[in-house]
Amino acid sequence: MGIPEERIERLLSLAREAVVDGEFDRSREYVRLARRIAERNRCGLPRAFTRKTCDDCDVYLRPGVTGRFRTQPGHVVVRCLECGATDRYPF
Amino acid sequence: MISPDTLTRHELVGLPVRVAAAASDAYSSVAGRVLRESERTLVVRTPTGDKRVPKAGTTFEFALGDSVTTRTDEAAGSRKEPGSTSQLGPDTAGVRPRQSGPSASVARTGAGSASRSLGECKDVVYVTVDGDQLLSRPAERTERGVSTWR
Repeated sequence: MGIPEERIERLLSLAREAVVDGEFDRSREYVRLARRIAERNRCGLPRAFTRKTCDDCDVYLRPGVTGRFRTQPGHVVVRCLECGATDRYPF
Repeated sequence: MISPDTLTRHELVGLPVRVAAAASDAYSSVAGRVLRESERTLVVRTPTGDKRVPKAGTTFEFALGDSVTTRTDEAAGSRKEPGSTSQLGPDTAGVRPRQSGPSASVARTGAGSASRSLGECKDVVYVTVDGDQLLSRPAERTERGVSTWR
């Protein structure tokens, strides 16, 4: 695993800490930086990253705090409590 | 893993830092964790507030080790480890309690191995970096030489 991937992983956990501390804008900074690193180095983002961050407002989705996670038949519905964006993925 | 060699190309946010030397006396006593980074400055969270320190003309001392970034490095380490099946069990058991609530003691005993508890008292490496080496956009500091886009 190269440096870009390691940076992305670290930034994801830092974004989570920022949400735990109640600083949502700081978590957005970390998520945006990680997305930028991924596109500059053409390494993509881990699946955990796309699942746990909001596509619209970039906040880290922590269940009950910044995100609402509900299962429907065949898929998961994730609603961002900050901006209201909805994401769905199958399971 | 972040090492003294790769530090200047690695993620600085979250690392404990101390200003070893600065062009201005105002920055000489700044010590804390790196909160955010811009092209020419680092923002350090200190007990007395967030301080923005210019990179140019400043010498930083970063601390690398398990003890100083327990909350940060646990998630990164536990995701890398599932290569051998013997370590998979305690890892998932350690991850689960952290999702219900961030309690440091549970996470440390669950996912924490002997090496991590050892690392808390030893294994802290202090790396002194000239701030001029860090003068780059945060996302592009990792790239070396010609980027893949050219």
